Amino acid sequence: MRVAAILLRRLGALLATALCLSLLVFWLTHLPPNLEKLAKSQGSARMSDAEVASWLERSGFDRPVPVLYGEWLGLLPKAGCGRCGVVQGDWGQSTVFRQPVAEVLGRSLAATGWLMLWVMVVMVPTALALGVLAGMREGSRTDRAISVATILTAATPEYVSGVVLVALFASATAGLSPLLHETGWIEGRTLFQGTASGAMNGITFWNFALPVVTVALYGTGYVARITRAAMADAMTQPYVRTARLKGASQSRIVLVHALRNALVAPVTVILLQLPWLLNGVVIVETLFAYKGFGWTLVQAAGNNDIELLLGCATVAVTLVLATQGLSDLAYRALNPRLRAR
Amino acid sequence: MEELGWLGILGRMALRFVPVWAGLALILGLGWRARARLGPAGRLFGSWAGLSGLTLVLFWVLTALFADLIATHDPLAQLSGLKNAVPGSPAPGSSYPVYLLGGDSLARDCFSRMVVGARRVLAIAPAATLCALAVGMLLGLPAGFVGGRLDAALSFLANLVLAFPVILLFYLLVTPEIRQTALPRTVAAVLFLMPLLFLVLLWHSRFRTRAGPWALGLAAILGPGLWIWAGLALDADPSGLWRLEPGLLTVFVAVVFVNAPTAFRIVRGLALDLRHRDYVAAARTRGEGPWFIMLWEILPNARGPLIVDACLRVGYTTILLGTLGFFGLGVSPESPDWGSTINDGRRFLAIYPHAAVVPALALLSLVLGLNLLADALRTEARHD
Amino acid sequence: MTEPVLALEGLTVRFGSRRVVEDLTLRIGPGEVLGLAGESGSGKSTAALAILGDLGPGGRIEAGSLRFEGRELRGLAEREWRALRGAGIALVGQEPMAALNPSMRVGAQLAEVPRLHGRASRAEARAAARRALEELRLPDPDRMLAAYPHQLSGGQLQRIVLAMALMAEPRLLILDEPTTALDVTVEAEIMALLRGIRRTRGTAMLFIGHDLALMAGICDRLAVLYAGRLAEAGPVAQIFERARHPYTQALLAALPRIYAARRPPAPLPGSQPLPQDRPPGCAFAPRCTHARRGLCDRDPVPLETVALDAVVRCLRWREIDGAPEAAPALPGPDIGGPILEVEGLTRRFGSGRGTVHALQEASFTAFEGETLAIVGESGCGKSTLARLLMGLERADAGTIRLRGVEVQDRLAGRRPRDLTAAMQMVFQNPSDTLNPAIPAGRQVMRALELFQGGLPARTLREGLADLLGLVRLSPALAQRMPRALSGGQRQRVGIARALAGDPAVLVADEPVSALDASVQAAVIGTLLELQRTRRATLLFISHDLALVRQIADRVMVLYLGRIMEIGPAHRIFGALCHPYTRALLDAAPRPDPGAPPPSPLSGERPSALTPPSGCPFHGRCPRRAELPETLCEDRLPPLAEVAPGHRIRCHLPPERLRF
Repeated sequence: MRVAAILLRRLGALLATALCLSLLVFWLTHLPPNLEKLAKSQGSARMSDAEVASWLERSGFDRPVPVLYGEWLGLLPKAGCGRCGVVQGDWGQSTVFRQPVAEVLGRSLAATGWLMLWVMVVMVPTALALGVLAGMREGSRTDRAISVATILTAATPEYVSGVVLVALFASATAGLSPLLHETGWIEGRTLFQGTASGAMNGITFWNFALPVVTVALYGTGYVARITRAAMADAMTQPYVRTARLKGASQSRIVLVHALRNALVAPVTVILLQLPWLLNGVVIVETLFAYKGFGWTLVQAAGNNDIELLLGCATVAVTLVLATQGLSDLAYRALNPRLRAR
Repeated sequence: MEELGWLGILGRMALRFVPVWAGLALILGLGWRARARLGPAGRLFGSWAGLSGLTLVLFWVLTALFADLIATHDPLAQLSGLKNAVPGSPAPGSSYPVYLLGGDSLARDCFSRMVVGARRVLAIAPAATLCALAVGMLLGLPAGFVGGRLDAALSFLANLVLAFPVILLFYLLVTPEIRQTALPRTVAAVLFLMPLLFLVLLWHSRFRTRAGPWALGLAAILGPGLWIWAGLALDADPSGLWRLEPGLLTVFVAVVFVNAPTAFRIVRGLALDLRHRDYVAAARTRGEGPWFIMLWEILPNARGPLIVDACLRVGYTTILLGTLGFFGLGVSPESPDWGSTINDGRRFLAIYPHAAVVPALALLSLVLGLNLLADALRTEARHD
Repeated sequence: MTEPVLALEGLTVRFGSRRVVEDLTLRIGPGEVLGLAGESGSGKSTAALAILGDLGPGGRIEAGSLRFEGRELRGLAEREWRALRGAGIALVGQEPMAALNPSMRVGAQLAEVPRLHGRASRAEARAAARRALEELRLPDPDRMLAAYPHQLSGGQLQRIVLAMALMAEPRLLILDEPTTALDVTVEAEIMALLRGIRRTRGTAMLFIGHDLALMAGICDRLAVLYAGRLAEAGPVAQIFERARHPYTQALLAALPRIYAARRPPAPLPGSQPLPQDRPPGCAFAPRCTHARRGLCDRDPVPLETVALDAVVRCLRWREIDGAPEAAPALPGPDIGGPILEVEGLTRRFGSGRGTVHALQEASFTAFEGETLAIVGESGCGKSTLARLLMGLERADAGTIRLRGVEVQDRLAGRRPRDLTAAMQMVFQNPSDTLNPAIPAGRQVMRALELFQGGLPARTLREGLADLLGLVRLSPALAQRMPRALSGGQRQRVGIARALAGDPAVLVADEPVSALDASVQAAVIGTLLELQRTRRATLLFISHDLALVRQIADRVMVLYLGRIMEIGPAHRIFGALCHPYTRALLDAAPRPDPGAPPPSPLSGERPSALTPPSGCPFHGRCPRRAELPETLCEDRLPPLAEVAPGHRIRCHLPPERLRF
């Protein structure tokens, strides 16, 4: 009963946030200069101010933003189709791709889904293992080595790691590839492929490894740092001493007693990482020309494709809010103190 | 002149950086001698991570300072025939005989662009961090200390901004179209007022019982403060000393806007933790006002975590600025900042990697230095 | 002679460059209970961890030997340690809540012990866990086994930790301040359990503590540790009867004695030195009234055997007379008219699960110049009362009149300056009472600035020096940061800060409970002296009845948010009192090895969320049976006057409440 009330309240807050944010995005994309640009790109680039005004009037953009927002959302009737907005599943038409927004989004989200999946598969086990190993014995040689490595990767944004990785593994003139090519280890001119556009038709290790590693690198460092801190903290807790003084072995202490309590922080952080991964995904998809969600967002924003941009924003914000809610639930589930309430 | 080998390139670069080496030796030497008196900052000299972090950060700060002395060429000048030139290519007939780190796709000197690019990052990132922290403190302290509805409302606002994917926000905020509206100036006016308001409250709460110092201090803060504020935020400084070009203003506003909610959350958490301390109760029972308690009782005890956070935040802001440059947002095309240079260079990445790798490594080393520094400071604070 | 269970010989433990324990020699025979007494920082817990081979990073044994049942423990391999820990030597620590894993059920944590040592099957281990809980008289063991630690009370948790320690039947049980975090009635219960274990199992114990009165009730022999070295050791009766070391003598004199005359405990100047500032020669010499220059401060003092089984580390023990001078008895208070009148004060907290009645309809009057002690266990509402008086929280009902002005609706900061100055507070926690980021002197100065506003800076500086002098601190300490001050010094600065406005009422919330025994007495002495000379009213909040007995003029007893009794101290401690007050008195440990053990109160204290109907104490009251069927459950007894100024909330007639 109480849990249901909490969930309901959360859901209400999420909904309020989503509405506020979509209104904000809608307002920002419908600022006069943006509309003017839209008019010029749809009409002709050399339109006079009067022509722009009349184009906007004809397209219905001269009405107040709240009305337009209501129509887009599907709460107000739109000329031509009654109530047809996001709520009814009509996301509008993309001007860049000349396709319905829903179609474009569906395709690009599927592509990004694969990327995210592999990133998680690489990142989560690596980060947790490194963090636990480092935090188990704070100040040891292992800890220091792992700490330097994780601080390094956590200081490397995707556009840096991507560039460095491509230069190292996918450049015909620098890094490893020329060496390997000359000695006959590889047949092609580069070890990995510098673009992932081929991955749209079929994912292979050679076209997907670099983008996945590029996205995973930053998150791995970050999550490993959090795990290490939580683990190191757990290892100094009195209950760990109790376990040791019961005669438990080091592995039992780490795996049974410390790990469970230390995992609370990283698990919530991993979930909160998802929005940040979204950033990485945008950068990496641009860098490797992988036509996923991030690439679509950049195309929409760069070409003033308002309806597609609104769609992207809605999806992104929903994703972020969902992960926030999920991380909240995970925190409760992992913490018996909170679960009891 | 022959093309230089790697040894020659490194040797010549080391020579160019002589002012930086001198500065590093001076600062680190003085710091080492005074380390016993410097408290936690002095103990940085005892830890490997702290010392290397400090060195890296100082290196780039000094590079930014002496950029004009170090750069070999004008970062915007193009030399014919040096398009995508490999590192160490001779550059006859220019201010320096070699393109030390090669030329970019527009035949400009990568080395000089990297050096001058440091200046831009190190001018914006710390200032934006301070601004964001001021906003965070001004809103986070009352949210944590007073709690209740105020906290709920402010936290909702912060979560609202946090739920925005950063890149989307940049694409919405940092566009030439937005610059035509009053939005950036309005937001800037509010954001830039925060540090000023912070100083005013700081002084007022401490000296409200003593009229003399109170009036003197407020005058000293408000006079120059309002002048700088009017210049930077409203572009209304008659002397023209304080002004920000509109593009930079938008970038600055966007970066502060992204940083402010996380700063708010950190300060709020610290205030929430410290508000139940006995010394806070003692201050209340002797009749202190809420701002005195927040700024003079709670804040000094939160400074450790806040300094660590500031280090991390400058690094994060550097990354954000790079991201903006990478997407070509808010910067003029020829700007030498690291992000846009990486963006320019990535088109020929597979064939001429140097143009993108050079600024990438520069950015990496600065952020690494800041993170190492933060880590060492946190470790020191914990062992205190 | 039988083989001792544990024998330490010249044990020296180092952390980095600091010697925390030096040259410690102890032995514990089979079935014997050895008390290891010392203040915080004396090295007593470090000694325990050395015995368990768990010093952690940075700590190492520099010299000496540790023999457990004849076997040398130094240099034992990790695998051998594992077999020994739990099964051979077990530890019960101070904080039961922290000692148990918060995300594991109690049953699983208990069952781990036989699984690790006895190679028991899962079902056997579970059965063993259940038996262990039953043996320690924990109610409803099945529910306990399925519970997480946070769902249980402190007393229950400590019994579970004890059960866990006993499961593998260790030959030596180390108890490191096992009752420090518990209320006095729960403490009495745990001590009774320990005495029972000792009787039935004959387990040898090392009882580490700081409270000599508590240790008198269980130990056979006592070893006193000061600054990492053994000061004195011997049979417990002998030490209480005739302590030879001046430090032990001072500790005994500083003990508040519940049935003694009304006088403050004898103070001991200074505080124990930190390991890095220990002086050459006798570490106690700087605080010792018997110390001789050129003798005590030169060479390390050897341990000397002075009688059968008794040792002392003092060069002058032969010349020193047994007891130190007692503090002079307090002069009678000069009591004036009412200064603080409280009427029907009530405070409720809404929580997710219901309403907590923190304080209900409290009415009392405090008079000018008196010491009114407010006594009760944790959660009884005594701190809430202080916070309401100070305006840190708003009362839900009732009035507070300070000097005749109603202040209950004005929170701190909204009260006029003179009323703010008129009532000030001294806080409990020395590590928290001063702002760690501000020099000590400036914090007192700020209070002066506020209360004596408008005075020139020079006058304020003089005022600061005066205040520091009053609390017996050197003015040089004003420049120091709080962390460079000892706990006692910080409490004194806190008192000076409260005195800045020359208050008429001083609310002291457990001002010495976090201080070491030898420092406590001196701070109390200062507080009382100031109160007497300035004729301030002292509201002294405490859980320590023995201390209250020695300093209070009047006593108020709280239970679950209700005043159960209020009256003159000499009547409550000498003539008649409420059954709950009586239970508190009985549960308090007596500093006398020959005294009968304190009798624990039965039953768990009810939660303030679901307070019992009628008399809040009826569920645990030992006199409950003397009254008709449902009277106590149905009706809240009135706070009735049994003598002038003495009121008791009980259905029993006063004559049956006599001693």
